[in-house]
Amino acid sequence: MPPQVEPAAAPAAPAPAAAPAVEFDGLTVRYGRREILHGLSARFHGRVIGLLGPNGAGKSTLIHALLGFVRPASGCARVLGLDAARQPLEIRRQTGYMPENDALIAPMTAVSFVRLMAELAGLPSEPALERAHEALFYVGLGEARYRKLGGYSLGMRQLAKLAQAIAHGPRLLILDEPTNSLDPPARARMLRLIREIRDTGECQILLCSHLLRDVEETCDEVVILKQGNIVHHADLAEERRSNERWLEVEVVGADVAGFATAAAARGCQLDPHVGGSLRLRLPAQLEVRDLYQLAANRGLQLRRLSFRRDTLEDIFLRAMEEGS
Amino acid sequence: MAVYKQTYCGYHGALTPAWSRFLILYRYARRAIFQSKLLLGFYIVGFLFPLVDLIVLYLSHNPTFLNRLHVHSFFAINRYYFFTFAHYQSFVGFLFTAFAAPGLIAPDLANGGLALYLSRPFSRAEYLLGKIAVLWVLLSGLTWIPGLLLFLVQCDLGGAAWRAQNLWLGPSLVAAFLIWILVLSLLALALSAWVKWRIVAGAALLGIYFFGAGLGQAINFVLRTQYGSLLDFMELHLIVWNGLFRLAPPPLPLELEAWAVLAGLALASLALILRKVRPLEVVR
Repeated sequence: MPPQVEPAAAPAAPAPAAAPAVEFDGLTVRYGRREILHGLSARFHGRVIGLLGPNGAGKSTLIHALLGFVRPASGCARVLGLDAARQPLEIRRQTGYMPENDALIAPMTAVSFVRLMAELAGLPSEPALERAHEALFYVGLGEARYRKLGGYSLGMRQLAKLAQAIAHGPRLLILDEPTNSLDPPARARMLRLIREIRDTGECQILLCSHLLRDVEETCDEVVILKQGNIVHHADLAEERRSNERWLEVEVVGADVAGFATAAAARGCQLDPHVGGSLRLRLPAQLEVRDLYQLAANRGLQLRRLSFRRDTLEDIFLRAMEEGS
Repeated sequence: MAVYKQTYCGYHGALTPAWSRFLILYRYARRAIFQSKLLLGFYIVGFLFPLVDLIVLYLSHNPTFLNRLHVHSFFAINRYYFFTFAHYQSFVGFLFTAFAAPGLIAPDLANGGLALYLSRPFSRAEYLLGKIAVLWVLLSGLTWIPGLLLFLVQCDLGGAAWRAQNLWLGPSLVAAFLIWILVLSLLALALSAWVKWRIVAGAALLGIYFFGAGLGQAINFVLRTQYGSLLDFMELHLIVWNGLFRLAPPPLPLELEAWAVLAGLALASLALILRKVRPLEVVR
């Protein structure tokens, strides 16, 4: 006879409504004597939080600390307002985890595997089976759900990992390199699913990736790690809004430096990272025609003028430079 | 998240109690074992000897049968009878374990599945309990449960005098099998976790049994000692069982040493399992 179910579906220790999805406070993690994360402090409220960084930056270690797999040497990490070191089981009940590595039990069929994972998350047997079917249909493996996982292609395995992560209806979904080894159509499908889950508003997502385009397409908040430190933390939506005032200008004439100085004197912010043309941010009181006026006053020509958005790649590269 | 809606939605229904979740792994593991027709058949055949014993026990108390044979007693039902039962059934149980246990942890470790199990509200202890419970239940079904049934039948048929003399035998039989099950299941799971390859883990368990016995005998013969028996997995248990079944007056040779080796083996196996069963492997 299956064990009796508890009627309480609400979290045992409910987090405050406005609690950030993820929060670190002086988080330091060591493996033996080696310090991997160096006193990280940040809070993330975004619907999809992108975790970026080069290989070895500490992204996976950070995820392991959030899930309570490793204990912090000092400081703390909180997920949905819960302390990762003290309440790991409660955190794991409310999160879904899609690991980077192959983690599927090859001799099992997809439906029994996803059902097992849902049951382990606390769902009774019948709802777990029902949701396993639904999750597999949702990710596009409906027709293949009775096949053994060992016979799945790499793309199908990634989708099966996503299915097991969402089957129990988590409040936070942790995706570690979800588009790894996917061909372009499968990658597009995975990103579409992430956006769809995001747009339901029922689940926040922590997306760990080194593919900047994936993060740019799905995330609204991004944190960049380098060698165990946070080197950049940005609200992408805010950055995009501020990007609307960035211009790239090609100036022809003798006194380009004078033009740049005059623009700066009028309140323009100049980006030193762009070679060749000038890249500047217009202050609120200045309009584009004022730039033409400045150029005309110095006998210069503005050959090209375009609004230029800062791509995530620009942000990332700048963060990497600043970090070093 | 209905299939036809094709959308994501959270789960707001009832949850199972946390204490009962290890039973989920037990259920899945038992199903996986009995999916193999070979193991299912072997498990059923394992009940043959208890059945024969039950028939022998019944016939020993059947006056009609005894009169036909013109004998006063057919088979002596005493401590040696139950010791023989224990010895035979433990061998059957060992063979069953050698084929069933390696598939319990090795596939999870080989596929990196522990990160998924342990990213649930599910601890390492519960994982281990779920896996080991399968062996405990199935081996109990082969060993002490039929043994205890035989003992109870004998208590009924043997009469008050036999009961008064041999009442200690029931708890001894159960204790002997429980010790054996505990050590064997921990050893089998440790090999499964360590080797990560079910065929090799099964072979290693059989190797410990047969190679250990051979090596122990060789040491005893060459060095003219008894300590070689401590390398023999079954002999270790037989030494302990000699005491439990009161087959010889105390002090029994090597009894303390055998207890110590069994305890050490169980602890070492547990330590190995705990070292291997982790959500992530850190390479220092």
